[in-house]
Amino acid sequence: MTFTFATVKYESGDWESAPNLPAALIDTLAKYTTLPLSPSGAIVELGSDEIFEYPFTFMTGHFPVRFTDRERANLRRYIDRGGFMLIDDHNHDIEGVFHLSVVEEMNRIFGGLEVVPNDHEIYRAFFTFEDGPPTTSHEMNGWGDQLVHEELFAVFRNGRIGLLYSNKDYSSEWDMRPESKRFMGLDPTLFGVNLVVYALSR
Amino acid sequence: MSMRQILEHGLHGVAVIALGTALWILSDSQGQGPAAHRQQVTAPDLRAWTRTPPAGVGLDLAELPAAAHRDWLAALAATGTLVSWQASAPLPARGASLEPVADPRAPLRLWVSAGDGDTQIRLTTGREAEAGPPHMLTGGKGVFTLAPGPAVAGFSQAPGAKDMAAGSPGASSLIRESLALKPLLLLGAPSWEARFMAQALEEHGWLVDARLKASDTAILGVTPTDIIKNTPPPRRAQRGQTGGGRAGGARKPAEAAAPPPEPTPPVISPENYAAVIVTDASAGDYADEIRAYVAAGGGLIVTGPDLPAGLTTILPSSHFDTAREPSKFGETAQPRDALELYPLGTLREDATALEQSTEGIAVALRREGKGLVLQSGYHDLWRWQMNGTAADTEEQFRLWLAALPAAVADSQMVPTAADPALLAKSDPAPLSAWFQAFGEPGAKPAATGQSVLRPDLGWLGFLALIAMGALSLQWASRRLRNLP
Repeated sequence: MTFTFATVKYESGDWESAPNLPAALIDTLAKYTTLPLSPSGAIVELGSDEIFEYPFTFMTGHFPVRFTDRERANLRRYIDRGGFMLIDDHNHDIEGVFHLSVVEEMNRIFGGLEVVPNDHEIYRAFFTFEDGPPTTSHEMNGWGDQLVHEELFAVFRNGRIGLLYSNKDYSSEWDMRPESKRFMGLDPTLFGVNLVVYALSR
Repeated sequence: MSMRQILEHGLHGVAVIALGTALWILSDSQGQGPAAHRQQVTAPDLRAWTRTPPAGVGLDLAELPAAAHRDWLAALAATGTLVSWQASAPLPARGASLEPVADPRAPLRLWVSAGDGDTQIRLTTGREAEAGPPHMLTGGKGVFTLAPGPAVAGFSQAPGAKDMAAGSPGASSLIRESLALKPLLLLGAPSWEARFMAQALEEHGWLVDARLKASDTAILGVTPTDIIKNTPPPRRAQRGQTGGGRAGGARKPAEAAAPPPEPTPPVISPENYAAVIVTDASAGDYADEIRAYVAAGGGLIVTGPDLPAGLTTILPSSHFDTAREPSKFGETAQPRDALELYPLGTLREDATALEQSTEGIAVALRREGKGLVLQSGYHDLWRWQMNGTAADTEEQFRLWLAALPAAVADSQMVPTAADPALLAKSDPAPLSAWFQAFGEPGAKPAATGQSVLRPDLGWLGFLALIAMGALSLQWASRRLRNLP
């Protein structure tokens, strides 16, 4: 019954680019929920059978993503079987190589991504985000592609989000040591609670 | 000729007319055709017998006639034709029983008995036989689940069935109870177990009202809304739109993320829920309501080792034997053998084991008040769907899970009045109906009713009395005249 935050390791790219993110998110989950949590995250290879033991996985990176055939087949099966994967563009750049290559992979595996409407239940799964996905400081400061990305994108399975894709760069926003959050007016990882609770309940 | 002679001739004539009338009545009541002997009952015979009723029909049956022929013959027997029968071969006791099941996808269960040996049958709904290959019944017995629709279902012989003669009917049954499906209530913490269960049951057609305790103050109501109503997924983004946005700095970050409003607490009653599913101890907050719900006829399903304290007294078992460790899928005989299992400890006396593994009892059921309680010792069932190696893993998982509420929601069936038109189409126990209509072999009809052609004994007696009286008077008159 214990929830384990699993980071996806894939053969191409820098999958480990947000090493503190799992701890920050686990800290937030422990603070606001009573979910049984694994205190440390796990690292799981996308191309392995082990990934099916972790129905919630997180993937990020800056570099081009080229999945192997095994990784593509596993990802397809993982989503079909009911897994939930969050992929975040660590570049915050729609012209960046991570975004372009991931979108291409999503088109290849799932036939494309769909827009998640900003009144979707994922924004009310625990905390309520009236305006849809919370903005990040990178967006506010005009870094990366200098855009505020209004919506997230997803692969749906039977009406549920199976794979959630973000250009918001939560990888940077949430990649901090848990104790750093005490100096912030608003915990930026609250939306992560929604993602986990959504995955665990819908 | 004297007046007395005229009177004697008149009395003689009255006697002759009375006897002639009696003979005419008797001959008419015997039917217009000779007795018939057949080895089977056919529609042409029945049509001919209806036009010209035989005095009797003797049957030497190797197979029971069809229900329509049986009823037709019974109608003939009711009008005076004597029907006797004997069996040239043992007549199989076939039967069918149709009942509702708490299952959105397969809401009907058909029990079939087609005799003693292995045989092939074809299911029928209404009067139509199903397409596809026939079903082999081992030992002549079987049970089938049916899709929604038919009020009457049964079976007929399949071509080549070795122990069912050509033309032999099977049996069919009319559904006599209704079962209105209500939502399921899922109680527990947000977890893979709760989520995968809710997902599978929803995909199977159930409405699942999930109340998940995410924190001490937050109960998340995952009551189906847009998911269950099957609204289409959000429109696909235009190519190239993915990743689009507007210029940064134009929108403020969220000031605060409001906690979720707590949903209205569920009213746990048999009127609202078909069954309550409990996945962990956090549901203990509702223990009192759940116990009352079960006592009033509700169904309860408790899964896994994390038992709510307030519910252990009504479970089939309150403790577990040594747990079995999970193993790799694909290496066990069946998928559930790879799951972590907490075998149910000693069952209460009134509990029944429904599923057993080598380590012990996996699933058990017991009645509590008017309701039913099912307990499963499997833990992390979700691993089955995620890790199962079979191509139809998801379907297997759904079907197994859907059988749990189907087992406990049966107590809410309500008898319904049978539609006479449908009732006429059902023939649940043909052999029994045959005995009821025609009695034991070799015997005369057990109940043929009042025959319109049967001679009226009172009327015959009256005619005989008149004839005897007239002849006696004639004889007496002649004797008084010294004539023989």
